[in-house]
Amino acid sequence: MAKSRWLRKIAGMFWIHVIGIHVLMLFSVSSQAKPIDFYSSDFLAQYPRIFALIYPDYQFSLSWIITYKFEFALAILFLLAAILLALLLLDWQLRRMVTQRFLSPTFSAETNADHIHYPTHKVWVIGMLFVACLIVFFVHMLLTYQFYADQRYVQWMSVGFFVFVLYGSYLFGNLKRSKQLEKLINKLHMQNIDKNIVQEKLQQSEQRLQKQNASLAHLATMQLGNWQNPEAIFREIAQVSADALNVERVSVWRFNDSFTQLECLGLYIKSKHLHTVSMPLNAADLPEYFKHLKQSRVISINDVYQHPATSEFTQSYLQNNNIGAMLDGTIWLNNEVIGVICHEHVDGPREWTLDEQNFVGSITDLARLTIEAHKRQQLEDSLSHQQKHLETIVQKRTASIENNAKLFRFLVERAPVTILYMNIANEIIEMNPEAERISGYSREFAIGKTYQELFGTEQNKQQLSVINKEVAYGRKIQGEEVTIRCADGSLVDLTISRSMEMDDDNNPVIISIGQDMSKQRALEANAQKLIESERRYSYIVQHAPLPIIIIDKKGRIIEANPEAISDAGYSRDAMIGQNFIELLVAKESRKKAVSTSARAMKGEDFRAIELLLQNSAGEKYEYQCSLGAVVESAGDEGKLVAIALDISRQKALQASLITARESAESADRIKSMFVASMSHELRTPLNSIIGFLGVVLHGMSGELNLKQKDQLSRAYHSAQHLLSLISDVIDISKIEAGFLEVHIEKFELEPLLAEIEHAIAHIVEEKNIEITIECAPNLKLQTDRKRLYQVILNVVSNAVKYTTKGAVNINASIDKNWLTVAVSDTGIGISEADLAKLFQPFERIDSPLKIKTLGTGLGLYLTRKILFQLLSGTVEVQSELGKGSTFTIKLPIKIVNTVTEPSVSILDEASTPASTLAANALAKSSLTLTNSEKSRP
Amino acid sequence: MTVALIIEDNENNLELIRFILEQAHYKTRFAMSGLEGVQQAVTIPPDFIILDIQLPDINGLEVLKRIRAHPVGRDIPIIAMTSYAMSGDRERLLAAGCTSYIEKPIDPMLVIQQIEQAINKKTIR
Repeated sequence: MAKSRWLRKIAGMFWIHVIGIHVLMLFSVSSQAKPIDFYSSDFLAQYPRIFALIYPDYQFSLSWIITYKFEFALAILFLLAAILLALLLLDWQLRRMVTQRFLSPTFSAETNADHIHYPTHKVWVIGMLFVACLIVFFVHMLLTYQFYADQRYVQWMSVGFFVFVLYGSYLFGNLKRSKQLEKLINKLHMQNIDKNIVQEKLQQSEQRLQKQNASLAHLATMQLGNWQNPEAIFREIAQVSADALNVERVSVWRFNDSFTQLECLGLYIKSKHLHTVSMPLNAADLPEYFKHLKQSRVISINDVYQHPATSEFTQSYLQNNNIGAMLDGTIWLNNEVIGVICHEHVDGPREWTLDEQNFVGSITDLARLTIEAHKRQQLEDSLSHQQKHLETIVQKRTASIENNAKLFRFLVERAPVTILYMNIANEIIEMNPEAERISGYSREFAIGKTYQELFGTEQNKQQLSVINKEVAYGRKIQGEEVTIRCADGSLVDLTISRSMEMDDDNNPVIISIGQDMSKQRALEANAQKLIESERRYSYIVQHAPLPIIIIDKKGRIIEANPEAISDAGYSRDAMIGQNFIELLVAKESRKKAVSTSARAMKGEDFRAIELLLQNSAGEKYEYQCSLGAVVESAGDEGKLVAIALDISRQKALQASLITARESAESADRIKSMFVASMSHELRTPLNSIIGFLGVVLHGMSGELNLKQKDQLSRAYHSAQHLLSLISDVIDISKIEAGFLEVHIEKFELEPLLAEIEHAIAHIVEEKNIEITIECAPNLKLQTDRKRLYQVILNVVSNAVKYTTKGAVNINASIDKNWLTVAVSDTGIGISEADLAKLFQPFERIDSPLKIKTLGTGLGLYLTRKILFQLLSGTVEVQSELGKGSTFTIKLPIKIVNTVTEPSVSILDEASTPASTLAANALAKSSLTLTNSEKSRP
Repeated sequence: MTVALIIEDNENNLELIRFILEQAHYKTRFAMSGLEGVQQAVTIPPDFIILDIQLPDINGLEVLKRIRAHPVGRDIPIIAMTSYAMSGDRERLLAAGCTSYIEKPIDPMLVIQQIEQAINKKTIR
């Protein structure tokens, strides 16, 4: 590099000098400004000496040059330009090629030597031409520049010349660099090609290896699941190996046991995709080949015709199959060759690569494994078969033993006898649950204790020791009765059997079996009781005043008691064995009897079934029967017991009762109608009397004098008195007959008391006494408002009536569900003797104060009746003569309507004229009264 | 002039109520049986009706129902009058459309007040 730089510097200086000289020359020329005579003979003399130095004797006329100086210069310049153009083209071409080479994507992959050829000759020729032209032009200009009339031409041409020179030298430099570059590229290119080839080879071998590895893996996995079928594995080995190594024929061979022969286990021909078998090979025929086989693991034969191992093969074999190369892998097991895998390449020799040889080695290993595994598998199979056989035998044995043991254990555990195992010292080793149950000792407690310890008493001590001795001598005790003591001290009778046996370990074991006799005794006692009860029941049946029969499943009479026989009117013999329905049941009831007895047989119990029965004379009576199945013992057929009760008389009585009740009811109704009508009929005229008297008294029909007024007011009050008397009487009679309806409504007590106060206000005012009411607000009641009003008003007006001075106090309070209304006065009071008479009808207490009392004499009687019978309440009196009385009314705040009889209102009898009704009622009144008296309890 | 229809079978009672009403300057008409009363009430509607409950042919409840069933008689105030009725009758009558209810024996001074109250109640309503 350094050298070329120096060269370039030198070249640069050269060109600078040339340019300088030219410039100097041109300036000198122009400064002369003297026309030259080209045609003069001494022209040459004026030229620089250098020309003369070269050609000293040269005589020629240069007139044509001078004449055509300009054209000539131009021509040379054109030539120069053409040369430069050619150079430019060359350079461009070269550059393009280099660029293409560099940038081509296939640059590295190109294998053929597509080199860039540097146009050395062309460059040389063009260069020579270029230099020649330069020299000619230079010389020409030297000779002729003086002859230009206009010196500017010279200047321009000189400049053009320089330009050409500069550009030309630049292009040459370029070409030179391109050449170097081209060389470099070519070198690189060659290297690249080499690298590609190596890489390709590497890739191929890698692919081969991959293929081989995949094949091996495939074979290995295939082999794993397929021990049982080695032939299949060998076939697969042959095929896979052929595919992996791209070999036409692959065969697997195996030595026989004496190593004298190779048997073909499988041959695969790849082109035909065929599995077949080849003829066996004998050691005697191919001694060299067999020797080779025993010597190495892999025999690589690149050319069968050259290798000693295969030289023995008959030409026909190799030629017929067109075999060219062989690769044999021997299979070794326990340091002995047991087989060979033979790869035969057809169509000429083949160079076996190292990896192929390795692959063959691996394949043989696989084959060995297969053979080995197969052998092992066979061995294992036979072993496991034997083991299974043994196992089944053992299982069967165990099962039968277990069954026996289970059975035995079951027997011991469930046996209803006590079983004890004892050792020779009479210590208990084991006892069964029954023994636990009877003795009351737990097994855990009993084990280790002696029999004597647990069950011995003073009484059986002797007996037990005898038994022990007998058993110890080897005798068997059978059915010995022993009374033993239990855990709770009670005594149990056992029947004992005992003997000594040998257990599995030849130890003596005493087995004691006992049966609880108490159960048996209880059974016997039970049987006795049963007999007694049977006797009792048979007595009952025999002497019962009811007919009883026992019927079997088919409806035949098995037994009949004397009452039944006498009722039926047949003899006992005539009845037994007969169908009871045909014999005893009247036609009307047969259907019912059949269905009832059928259902009774299924277990239903019937009581009070009414059946019409008939006796031998054909007379029919109504009976009420009970039917029920009796199962006397398990497995026995059911029997029906039928008990009958003659109810014909009862029925007749019932019927008469019903008619009696009906007539009584109608009588009651008539009475109630009468009462309702009477209340109206009696009151209507009175109402009119009171009304008119009121009108007259109020002076509506004209003024009255005082006497008239007094007399009329007496009549008015008497009429009022009569009306209230009638009302009271009717109320009482209604209550007594039970026809007064309780009309329940919800209301508050306070307004009711206010109403009462208002009603008696005029009397209170007259008498000048005080009345006070104490009542809690919002006191809610649910009862008959009108009756309560009537009751309280009655008591209050009584109080007012008998009080002349002081006060009447009404106090209402609620305690739980009871309303208490206490009415106290400061009146005359009641003596103790009179208190008893107080609630009697028409009893008036004699007033010591001679108070003129108005009233019906029914007030308190009615009050108590209403309270007691309608409102479920009570009324009590406390009184002290002369100081006052307190009437206390108590009643539930809430009553439910318990009256079942509908009240009779005249509104119900819409179509019957009231008068007719009353007339009817009056006509029947005598009857009604008698009836109602009778029906009253 | 306000016209009253009195339905009452008892002559004395009829005379009594008529006298009291006329004293109070009401014009009166009367019917002696239920059916007649219904007919009168419907054909020549009065301003109000005094109705006795105990009547010979059909009882007062029935009369009430029939008058109320008729379009003309639907809004006429009807004052029922009865002596000491069974408990529950009052409710039955009011439920059937009776405007007011007066118990016998009537007080001549109070009855006019009661009637006027009943009429006013009706007109207000």
